[in-house]
Amino acid sequence: MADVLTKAPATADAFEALLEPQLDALYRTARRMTRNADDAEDLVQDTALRAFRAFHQFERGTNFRAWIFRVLTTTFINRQRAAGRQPAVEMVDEERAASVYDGIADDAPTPEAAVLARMTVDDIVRAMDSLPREFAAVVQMSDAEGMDYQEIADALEIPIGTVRSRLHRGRRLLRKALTPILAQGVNHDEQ
Amino acid sequence: MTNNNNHGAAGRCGDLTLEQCREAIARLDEYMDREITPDERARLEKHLRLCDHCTEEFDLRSRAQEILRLKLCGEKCPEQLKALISELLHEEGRDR
Repeated sequence: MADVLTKAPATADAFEALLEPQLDALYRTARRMTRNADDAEDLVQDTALRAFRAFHQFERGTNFRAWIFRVLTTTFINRQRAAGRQPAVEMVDEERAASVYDGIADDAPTPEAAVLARMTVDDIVRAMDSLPREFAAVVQMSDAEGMDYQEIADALEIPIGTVRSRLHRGRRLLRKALTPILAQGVNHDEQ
Repeated sequence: MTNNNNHGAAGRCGDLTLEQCREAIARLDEYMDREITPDERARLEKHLRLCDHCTEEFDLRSRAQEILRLKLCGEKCPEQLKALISELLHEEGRDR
């Protein structure tokens, strides 16, 4: 039996076999971080190349998804810095976030599945884009990509408690952002 | 104070206090994410067996979550980007 821990040569084929199943999830998360399709494409491309160059550091048999998402995060932060922007993923001061976002009045109600189902992917993307990036990324990783809290914490290199609070606030903000779009959809249906 | 469980001002739902419902609702997302301890899970499940309102909210959130997941996964990495990445990786691999 082949030993999965044996160091396989870092060939493009071996790397690509691990990368390919993650590309959609990487692209979507990059979209949440950059809020822009062109920047997301550049970010994913950079991430793939950087990860391939660093592939010898990846321990075979460990979680490739957490590793490649960590490369995505680092690449994003480096690109933000290079562009002279504050790296959003790590910038949030949790105390400040608590005071700002928990100040939001009553939660928007949980939308009905039937109403949500009528929304387009663009509607949802628009709502996600209205969230602070670091919240949108966590919501994306959990609710779309099915990553558990520890995996998200590893990917973003933040404490698990921060994942919990960002997810909680992010979901609340998303529900709030969806409310007017849902209302428009219903009005539209009634016309 | 947030109250999205529609339990009204009476603050009672059968023998359950509004406080118990608030606590249950606050943990619902983590329960759905399977990120609570076995003790918390047992306590919440007991509450859900007794409380129709919280069970309703749980069902509503579960369905909403599933639709949201499907919609969010509707975004795909563009095919030309996949092709470009594959090409660049093989080019890089040859240069080694």
